[in-house]
Amino acid sequence: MITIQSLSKHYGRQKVLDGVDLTVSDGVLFALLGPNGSGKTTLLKSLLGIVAPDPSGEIIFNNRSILGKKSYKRHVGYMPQNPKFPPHLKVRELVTLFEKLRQKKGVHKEKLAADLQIDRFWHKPFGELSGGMSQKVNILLCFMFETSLLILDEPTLGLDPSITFYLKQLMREKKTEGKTVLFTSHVMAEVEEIADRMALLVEGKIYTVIAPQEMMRQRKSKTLEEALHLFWNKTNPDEKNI
Amino acid sequence: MKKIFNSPVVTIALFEFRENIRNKWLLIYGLSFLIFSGILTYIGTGDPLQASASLLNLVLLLVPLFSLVFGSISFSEALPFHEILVALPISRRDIFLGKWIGLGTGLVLSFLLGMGAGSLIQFNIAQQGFGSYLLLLCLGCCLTFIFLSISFYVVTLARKKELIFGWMLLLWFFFFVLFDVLVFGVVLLFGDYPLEIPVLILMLLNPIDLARVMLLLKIDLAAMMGYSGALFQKYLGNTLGLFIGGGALALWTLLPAWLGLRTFQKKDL
Repeated sequence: MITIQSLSKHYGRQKVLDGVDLTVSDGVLFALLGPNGSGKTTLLKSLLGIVAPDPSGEIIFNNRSILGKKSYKRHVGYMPQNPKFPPHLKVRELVTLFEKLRQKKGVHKEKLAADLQIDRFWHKPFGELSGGMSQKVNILLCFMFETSLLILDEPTLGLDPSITFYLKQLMREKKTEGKTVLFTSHVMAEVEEIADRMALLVEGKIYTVIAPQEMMRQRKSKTLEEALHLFWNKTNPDEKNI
Repeated sequence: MKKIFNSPVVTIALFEFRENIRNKWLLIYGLSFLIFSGILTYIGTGDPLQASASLLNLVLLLVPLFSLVFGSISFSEALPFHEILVALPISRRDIFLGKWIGLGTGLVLSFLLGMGAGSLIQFNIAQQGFGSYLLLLCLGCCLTFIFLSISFYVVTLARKKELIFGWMLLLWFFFFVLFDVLVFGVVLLFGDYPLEIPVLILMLLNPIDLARVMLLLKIDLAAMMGYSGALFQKYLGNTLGLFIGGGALALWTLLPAWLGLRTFQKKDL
């Protein structure tokens, strides 16, 4: 379980996260939604220690405070948005590097590499790969280890429909295994389809945490997209709190 | 021993080293030393002492410039990849030190191979003055790590990536040209006062000057050292001068690296 308490983040004078309180239970597919610049990526990066949140907040993972620590990352897989791998580096070398740094073998490596057809460019450097190919490697690096929490930032961005389908299946499998998948997305149909719960983040604040189906029921909408449209178009910001 | 080789610092350093030896710029760097040192040694008398004095300016010009520029580009371009590495169960210190050691070793190897293939093969190791040539190589290695540390520190401080290259050229210009002009200006302005100790201290503030004076002390070419070098020899002598100079160079290597590491540990990626 992840518990985020009063988490804020400033970049200079700009407030990106504003006292975020959020709890994500184990074994759920949890979507983090919000417009561009709402603080989704900063929140995910705070969970991973990539950005340092303001000292007033707290993040608790498996009953332990994790701010400034590294050992908890053994249990976390991360799939960044638009990863930039060194251009001279070969796919095989990067996978080996990750295994060495994590000091464990990627138990799902062979299966994922075969399913994603990565074996075709296993010996190629990243400079020669297309964006879609790099994204496949990104999936491999995130899912090949046994981790209890998976953090995915816009995971389906730049993927073809077949791999998108595969990735969604993979996310569901992880959930079935009792693992937590926390992801961001701009594709509402995707969230509607796979997420158990979602949080709406606007200007660094969590407005609501709700199941997508519940949001659609409350707004009497057929799609999540429509429900969110109705939600955003309420003029009084206080009314957005459900 | 196995534990050390499997440590994250060594893993990243080896990875970084492999990455850099494939880089064409490192090849060009090594080749430029090969060509210039080969020519300078060939047209000289083949005397290591004379060759060291001739090669000194080449080393003082190229090593800081390339280490600053290449180090800063390599480190700033690796930041998005470091973001991915930070999400792994390793510390930021491992990433920073691994990068520093791996990149520095690649630069040093390129420098040594270039210089070695260009001039070392033309010497007789038993010749007098060979020690000066070895000192020149050591100073080149020290300057590599010093300016690599400075470049890393500046990158960790920089908010705008596009300005980093300009900062590097400015720093190189400051250490290579401007610093001496400033020292000269101080001497002219305050010529009526006893300036020996302040000038000695000033000289410790420029690793390029320090390296120059240390080699010339070894060669015993006081006439080429200029005002500050002559003072260095007069007050500290050869052995003490080399010892103090070596200590200052070590401090120049470690201090910016430590400051860079401190900033990197808090930096948002």
